[in-house]
Amino acid sequence: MSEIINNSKVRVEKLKQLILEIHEGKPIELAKEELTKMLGSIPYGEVVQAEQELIAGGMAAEEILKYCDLHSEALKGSINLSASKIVAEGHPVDTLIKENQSITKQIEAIRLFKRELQIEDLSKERLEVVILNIRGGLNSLMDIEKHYVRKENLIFPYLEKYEITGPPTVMWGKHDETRGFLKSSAKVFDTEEELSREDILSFYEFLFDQALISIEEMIYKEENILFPMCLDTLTEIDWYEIYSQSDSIGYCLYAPEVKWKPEIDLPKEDKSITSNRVQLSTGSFTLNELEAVFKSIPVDLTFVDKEDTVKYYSHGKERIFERNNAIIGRKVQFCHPPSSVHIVEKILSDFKAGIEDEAKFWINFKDKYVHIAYYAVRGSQGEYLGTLEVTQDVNQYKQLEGERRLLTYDK
Amino acid sequence: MMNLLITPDITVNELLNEYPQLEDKFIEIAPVFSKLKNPILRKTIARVTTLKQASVVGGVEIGELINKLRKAVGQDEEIVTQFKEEKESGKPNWVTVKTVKFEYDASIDINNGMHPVAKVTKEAEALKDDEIYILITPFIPAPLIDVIRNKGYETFTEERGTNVFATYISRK
Repeated sequence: MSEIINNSKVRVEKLKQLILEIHEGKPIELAKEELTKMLGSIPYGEVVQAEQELIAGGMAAEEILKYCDLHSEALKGSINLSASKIVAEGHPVDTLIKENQSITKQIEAIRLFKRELQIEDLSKERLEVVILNIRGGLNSLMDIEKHYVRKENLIFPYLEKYEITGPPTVMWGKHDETRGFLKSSAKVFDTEEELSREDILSFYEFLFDQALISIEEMIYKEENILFPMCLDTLTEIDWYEIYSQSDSIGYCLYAPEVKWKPEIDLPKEDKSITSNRVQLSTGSFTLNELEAVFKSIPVDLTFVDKEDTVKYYSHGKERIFERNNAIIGRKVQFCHPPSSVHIVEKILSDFKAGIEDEAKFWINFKDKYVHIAYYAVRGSQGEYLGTLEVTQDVNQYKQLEGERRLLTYDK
Repeated sequence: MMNLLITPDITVNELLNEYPQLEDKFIEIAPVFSKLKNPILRKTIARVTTLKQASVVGGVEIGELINKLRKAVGQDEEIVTQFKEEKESGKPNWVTVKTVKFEYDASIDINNGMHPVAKVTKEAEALKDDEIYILITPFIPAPLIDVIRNKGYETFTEERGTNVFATYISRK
């Protein structure tokens, strides 16, 4: 018996050492190799144990997180996909499973930061960082709405078509329960009072943990019951219809990278879409032209509608702030760091009330001098339609002097 | 007029602000909440947690929690009196002569966090004049009964067992 305990101790020590080495700059590849060798024989509990001991010893959760990615990367390929049939990349079920992986990662990160809360003499500065990260994690989890809505509005109706009504009904109830826990969790932070370490710990223990558990239980139910059942029941045409309508709802913490082609003859692509002109009051575009024009403007645009939902972003050659399609359909309040969300709220409410029409900021960001402007978008009657964010690097304009009247190409 | 009705949707703070005497009872039903005596928890958690959520965290059936709390402040009696004019005479006549068309046991759905009100109002619309819809719930669904009655139905609720209530619904 003692031998086993010792071995376990040794492994935990070894793991800690490896994490520390990564922390000190050991090449990831090397560490990965050692880790892969070890992981086959390491129970997950020991990994948690090692992380716990490092945090108790004063290592920041962010450091461990770096390793977490590595850990899941090393595990890649050894995880059994529980879906009964292997699905093609880009298939709606593949996307749902990938979203679940992103959600799980987010939950792991939250739990790591929570472990720091158990350190009794945690410094005030560190506590602030931990709280911001936990709130940020909660904000990210709000994206789960899109995952649930795609199930409720796209997948469940097809199951009902085949007279499978039980599981969808029960799941829908569970979705609502999770939504309730997340909503209540977010309310904890609507207070002017400063939250202490004990406050956040109790919040975690009595509310937030339950939200995380119900999210995890749902992932388990999806991957072990719902997805296999759907794959056995729905036809390729059903899946194609679901796939075609998924974009409009949006994705959760993940954006599909591959277009999925079902194994059926698709209706010929509608050519009218390329000849369809969008008629505006001062001229018109084809859709292709419109898309290309937005891409060639040297500023990054993001449009949020009057319900505060992100509807569109342009993606030029070099976007300053990274965006991907996972942001479409997300409430703008959950796209900003918790520390600045009150500013976002203030701008939106001033725009909606008609008090203000623009708000501008400029910041140093990496090697750029970034100008960020928010404009209220109003209809012909002055009614509020949404807000446009325009972001650009203004370094090149700041440095201009004199004149340039001759054609010169900037390299 | 009844005081605040105890339902799964009210928050722990709403409950304890209205009925401070329930604090001990609440902790007795869900011991995990013994920390409620701590002002921190009252400030952060109780403010935002509904009784339904508390029942999940505390591992208690929602029906048991609601019924015990209602009983402790005599609200069960109040509700029964309010929704049962024929308290003395047992079942009203219509319950005995009409035929039961549907019976829906919502206990599991309610424990899973669902609100049966939309489903019940939709299904009750299909009732003919001589038919009855029976709804089974883990506590008396007072707000739902209000909604149904306002839509022109009559109802009668009886206790069938511990945390099992049957509500008969029919057109007037």
